[in-house]
Amino acid sequence: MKLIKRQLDGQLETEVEIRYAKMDTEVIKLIERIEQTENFIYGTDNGRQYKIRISDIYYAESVDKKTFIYTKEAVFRTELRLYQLIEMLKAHDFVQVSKFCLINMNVLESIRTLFNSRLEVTLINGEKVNVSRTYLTNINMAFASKEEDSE
Amino acid sequence: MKIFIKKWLMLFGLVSISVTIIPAIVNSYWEGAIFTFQLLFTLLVICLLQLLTEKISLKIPLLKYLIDLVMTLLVVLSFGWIWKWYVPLYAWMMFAMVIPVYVIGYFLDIVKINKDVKVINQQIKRRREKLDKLRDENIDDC
Repeated sequence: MKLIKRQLDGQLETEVEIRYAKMDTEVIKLIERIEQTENFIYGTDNGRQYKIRISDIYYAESVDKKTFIYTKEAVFRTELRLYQLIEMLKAHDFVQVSKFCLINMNVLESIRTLFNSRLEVTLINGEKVNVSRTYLTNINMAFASKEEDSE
Repeated sequence: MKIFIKKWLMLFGLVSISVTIIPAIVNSYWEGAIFTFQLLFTLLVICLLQLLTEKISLKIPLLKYLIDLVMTLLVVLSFGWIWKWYVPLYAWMMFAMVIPVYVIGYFLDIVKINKDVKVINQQIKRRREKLDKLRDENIDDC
């Protein structure tokens, strides 16, 4: 199988084109793999529905029993409850940082303690999110398991 | 060091219980052992209540420490009053005993949090470097 990767200026979305002579099990498996990695979640903003790529999600938060999904620049509302999102995103690089918040590990810039023993993470877009100290072990373990996976 | 201190204090606790209970059984004299049981029960109640406060998410974490301290003081004062550990005139001694233990515990907690934060920051840094390297490799391939 030949793999061709191409970076194009102006390309808005990642496209995968599979050229095959015959639809055999190898091709089917390949399609399944790609479909698994390209997961989406639906969210609404101003009454319009949007398809949000999971890797674009920075964090998800539950406020007054409503769940919000935050990307680099936008905020979407989802009908999913936070525990459903946790279940859906556990296979991806997400970690729960408080009872009400779930963060994409790939967008973390740093974590710090504040003067009154509060904790705060800074995301790569500069946004700051509160962390509960009871979830520190959870974060630590998530990173450790990802490191093990990648080795 | 932390594990050593933990092991040392745990051993001290177990030996204290053992040296109180065994002679009490042998000599059928429970006067001294009763206080140990009272102390053990009081600590069990405090630990159970702290498990409950761990579940509460507060906007101001410092408030959690304050609730824990007040709760511990109330438990010690209540059980102390029931089991006559003190006379009202010397109730302040209960505060003098509880507060230093609590303050030391609080600072040990802060040290542990700071250590965890340091480890997580290192993990974040390593992950970012790995992601950047991966990105660079993909660009080079193109």
